[in-house]
Amino acid sequence: MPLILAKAGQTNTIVKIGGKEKTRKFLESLGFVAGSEVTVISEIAGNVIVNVKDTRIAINKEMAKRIMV
Amino acid sequence: MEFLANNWGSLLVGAILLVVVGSIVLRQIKNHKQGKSSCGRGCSNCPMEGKCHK
Amino acid sequence: MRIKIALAGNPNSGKTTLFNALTGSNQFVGNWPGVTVEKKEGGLKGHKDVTLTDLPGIYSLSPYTLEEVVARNYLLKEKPDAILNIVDGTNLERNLYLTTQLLELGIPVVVAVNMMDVVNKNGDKIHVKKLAEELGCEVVEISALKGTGIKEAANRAVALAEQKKAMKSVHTFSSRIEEALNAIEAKLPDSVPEEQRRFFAIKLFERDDKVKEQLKPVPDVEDIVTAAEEELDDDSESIITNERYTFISSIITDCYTKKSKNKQTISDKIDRIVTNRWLALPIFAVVMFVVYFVSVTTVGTILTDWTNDGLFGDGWHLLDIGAAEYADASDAYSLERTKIDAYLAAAEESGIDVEAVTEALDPETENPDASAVTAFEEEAAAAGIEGTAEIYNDEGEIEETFPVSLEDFQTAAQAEEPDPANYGVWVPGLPGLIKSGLESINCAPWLEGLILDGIVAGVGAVLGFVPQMLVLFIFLAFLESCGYMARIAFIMDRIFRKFGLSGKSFIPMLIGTGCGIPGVMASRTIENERDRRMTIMTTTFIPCGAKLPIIALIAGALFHNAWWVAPSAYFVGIAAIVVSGIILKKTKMFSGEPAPFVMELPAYHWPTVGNVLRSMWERGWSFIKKAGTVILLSTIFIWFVSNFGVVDGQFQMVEDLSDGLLAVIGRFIAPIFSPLGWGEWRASVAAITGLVAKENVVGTFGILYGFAEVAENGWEIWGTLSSSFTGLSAYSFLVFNLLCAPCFAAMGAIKREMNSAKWFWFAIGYQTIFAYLVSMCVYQIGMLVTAGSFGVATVISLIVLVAFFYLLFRPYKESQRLEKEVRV
Repeated sequence: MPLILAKAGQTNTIVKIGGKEKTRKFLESLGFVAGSEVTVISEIAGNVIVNVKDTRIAINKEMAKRIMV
Repeated sequence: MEFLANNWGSLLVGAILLVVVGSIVLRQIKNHKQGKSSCGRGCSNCPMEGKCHK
Repeated sequence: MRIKIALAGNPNSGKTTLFNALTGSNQFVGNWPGVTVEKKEGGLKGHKDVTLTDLPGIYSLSPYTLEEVVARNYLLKEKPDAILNIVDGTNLERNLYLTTQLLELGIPVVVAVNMMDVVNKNGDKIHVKKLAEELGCEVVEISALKGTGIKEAANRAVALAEQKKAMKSVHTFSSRIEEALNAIEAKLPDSVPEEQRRFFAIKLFERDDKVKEQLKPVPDVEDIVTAAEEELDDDSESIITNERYTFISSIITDCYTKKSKNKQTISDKIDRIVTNRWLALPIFAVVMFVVYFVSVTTVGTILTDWTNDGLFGDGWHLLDIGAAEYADASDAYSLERTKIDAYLAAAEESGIDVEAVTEALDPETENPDASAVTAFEEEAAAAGIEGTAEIYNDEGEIEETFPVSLEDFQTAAQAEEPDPANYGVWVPGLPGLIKSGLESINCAPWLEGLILDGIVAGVGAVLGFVPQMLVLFIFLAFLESCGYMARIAFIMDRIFRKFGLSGKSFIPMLIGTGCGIPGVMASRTIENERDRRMTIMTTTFIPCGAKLPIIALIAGALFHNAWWVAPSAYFVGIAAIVVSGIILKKTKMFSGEPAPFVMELPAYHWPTVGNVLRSMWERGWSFIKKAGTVILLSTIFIWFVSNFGVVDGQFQMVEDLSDGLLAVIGRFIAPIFSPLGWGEWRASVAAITGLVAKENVVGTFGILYGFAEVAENGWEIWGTLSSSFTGLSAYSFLVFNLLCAPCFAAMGAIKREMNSAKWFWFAIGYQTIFAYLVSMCVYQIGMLVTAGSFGVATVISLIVLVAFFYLLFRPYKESQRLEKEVRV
């Protein structure tokens, strides 16, 4: 399912990242890679704050939609 | 001579004023030529450091 | 021999703190993305001839963002002698991603694991020796904030740089990839230095565009790459990325022991509340409200009262010595005056003429007529007058009443107004001092006027607000440093997205609360051209530091410090931005998809007192400097133009300011502003002078409303001001000045950023017209609602309002053309 549907407090593993290449690469350098764990901390109207590789990152809905867990 | 004696106060104050104003004007022009930002802080502490002037 | 060492690392890893500590310079540590986009250089302390370069924070050496390209180019072209790689110890896994890439450059690397103090506090352990082994380079533990280990890290880097030994990359990819890489390396031109060959090979394998610019001729390795991709069933970039992460995972398992699997840290808990979908905005509103309320209306006002009444007014009691006694004496005196007033009122009621005695007893009267008093007393005695004194409390309600007999009146009439100088230690205010100083040296009256009524009045009025600004700046600095501002950008993203901007556009506005110029500059981080232009245009709507005196003045003098005025100014600014955004986004000029928003949120932490104070002081100091220069010059100019005019056909100095040249010009312009409720020459002139510097509005008022003269008590200073404005017209004036075109310096910044005269004029025009229309609507509709007045202007305002709502709510049409990037 896409990340925006994940529940807060839940830990999921990233399966795939879609979207434009540029965006994907950037996400990857942040730690969003297939196989890494991501926990949703907070969600506000589709925009999410997640914890990935021990880092807190805020992503907006568009991006979060393309991260599949 | 009498004029000087009577008005030395005003002349002194006026002279000081001119010096002050003049130096301000000159410094502003100099800053402008150097392209220095007039937001006044100097680059090192602005979050925009390095980005202001190319 | 000049040694160059580069400082590289993730954003928020503590690079800039380390840079400051090592070079002794004073860069401000911000907490939002894009703080550094160009390299900063400094000399390494304690070493001769070593230059330290702080590169922009980057997550990897890919060619996708401006920061990465800048950093990359520096490392490849300038070839520093060593790299000091800062790694955030609390975030080891992600940070190492960059490290693996740095190690491939062939430049000696020292890894400095930062934030060790936090790591140790959490109880986690990092096995440094093992880490160094597996990475193939030296690793040092540091805490940039506490200052531990940084000298060692720097020394190691210098030592490596001096050895000039190239770095051999320890990390190898899987064999199939190594095969491909070797094949590519063989094809590289000989001009590529030995140590960099591996880096270029890997980049070519990833099909890195930017690297092609540096290799001439570009070797054709497409077959090699495609072959590998087919065998491994993945695209080349992902192959490399995955391998890196696998490598890093193995390192982490070996070298990093986490104490607990505790998923939620304190920062997370705070975030759950602060970014909660229902609470986020209200919390933000409350925070900004408190900030503005406290700085302008409460604490700030106390301080400003002192500067306005004391320092630039009559004077003040040093350390309050004698203040209490004076207050008592003053109260006693007021009581006597009340009795006098009551008695005279009673006398008047019974038909006695009190005009003469009133004047005689007036403390302002120069030579009181004692006989008038005696005559009155005889009359009153004969008529048996008895007065009734009423004491009012602060709310205007009657607290006490008591009778006033003739004897009481006679005693009261004898009372003398206490001179504050007789109580304790009294320091006379600056204007008084200067005045007596000038008089003692027989300074010409016009020159004295220039200094007192021009410079002191103007600059003094502005400087009087410095305390409030400092308080505000402390708050803002605190919010920036603790990390909350980053969250705000995220929260606002949701709203901003509604009208097509991203939260990234909010950051310039945040910066703009200090000064609009760096705010406008901050729009550079926005890649989308249209969004950038829109952000530039609306950033100056947020009240900047210079507009604060205007807000404080109106709030204080005309609204008696009502609690809502100052915060409302801030919200008017935000509303203007949001509304402009919505309206503009719906026009063809600006439509389009907003950029996605990804931002790292650093953990919350208590900012250091030093950092906060320093940030506050810098902003405050620039304001004071401006007062001493630009505003000083402006006040002199304004004084001249207002005090000289054509009287009876002759050009000379005028008695009444309303006859001066400035007044003439002002009256010519004023009608433009009458629909806004303040079509008076002084207000109009002040608004115009605000174009040079917003503070000038207050400065000009100071001169035109006689600030230095009428310095009696409390709000008497601005008493004449309230006679020219009603509450509504004052608010309309405030709104206009808040929203219209900014100062010259800011306009210059807009012009530079827009890089096009057409856009610049569009921006300025938009702001001014927007300000005009909004103020007009505020005033006209306000008048309609409160006074029921109705006129042509009211009709126009209503039409404007309707048009406004239409533009706001009309359907959003997506552009009809489909544009897509195609890679060739």
